[in-house]
Amino acid sequence: MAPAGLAEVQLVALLLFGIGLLGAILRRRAASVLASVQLCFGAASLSLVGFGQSAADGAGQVFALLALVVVVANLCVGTAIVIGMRRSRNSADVEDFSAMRW
Amino acid sequence: MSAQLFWALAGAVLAAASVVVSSGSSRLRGALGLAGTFAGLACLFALLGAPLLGAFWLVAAAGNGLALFLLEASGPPERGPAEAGRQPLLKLAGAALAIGLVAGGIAIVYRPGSFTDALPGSIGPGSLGASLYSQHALAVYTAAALLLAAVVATLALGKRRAD
Repeated sequence: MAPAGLAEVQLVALLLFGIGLLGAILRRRAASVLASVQLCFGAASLSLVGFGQSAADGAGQVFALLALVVVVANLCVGTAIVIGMRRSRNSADVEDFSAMRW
Repeated sequence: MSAQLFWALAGAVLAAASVVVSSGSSRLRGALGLAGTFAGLACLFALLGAPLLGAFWLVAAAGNGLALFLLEASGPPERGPAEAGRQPLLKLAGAALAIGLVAGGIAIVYRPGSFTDALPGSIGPGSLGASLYSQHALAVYTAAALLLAAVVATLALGKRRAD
């Protein structure tokens, strides 16, 4: 017997995504924004696994695994950007970096 | 403990820890909240019949969480010199946290007598690997290329000098 139905899984995923989105919008420290984005990706993976489990096949797990690769790639580059921010202006506040240029 | 009760417990831990991460009250609380969030997520994945995915998530999160932890610990202290003395301790705590997450991932995969084995959508690590390298081989190669590009971009960004 499954521990939770599709609706419960999607509800938890929605809650997690909302909390992560709020953190990404409201926080000013770059590392906190990265951590909040990670919460959003976790919610998306949970949603995919929930749908896969409800459809009784493994495709959801495969999609979630590939989404995890995107998370890791995203956070690799994100962490490098945060380190670059620290180096260039000795600050990790996203408000200090409002201009985009090469 | 029944699966439903364990599900509710893991969901509650996940929600509470994610609120701690999002509130961003302090560095240590944020890192610990992140660890709690990933542990809760891994439990939910294992309960949904995806133990390998939960383990992968824990291992990937351990690396990322450790990077964030060390990044924060190496920055300027939040509350003056009193906290500066605690920074080596923070780095040790980050390393211990990462080791704990990896050990948790291994335990999830090799947990004997799992009560989720009979779930309709659950597939074991062997079946998942066979499916990945047969039906979804193109996606695996694309993901590998993406990871390689991310590593190259990270190295390029890390080598750039400050303006």
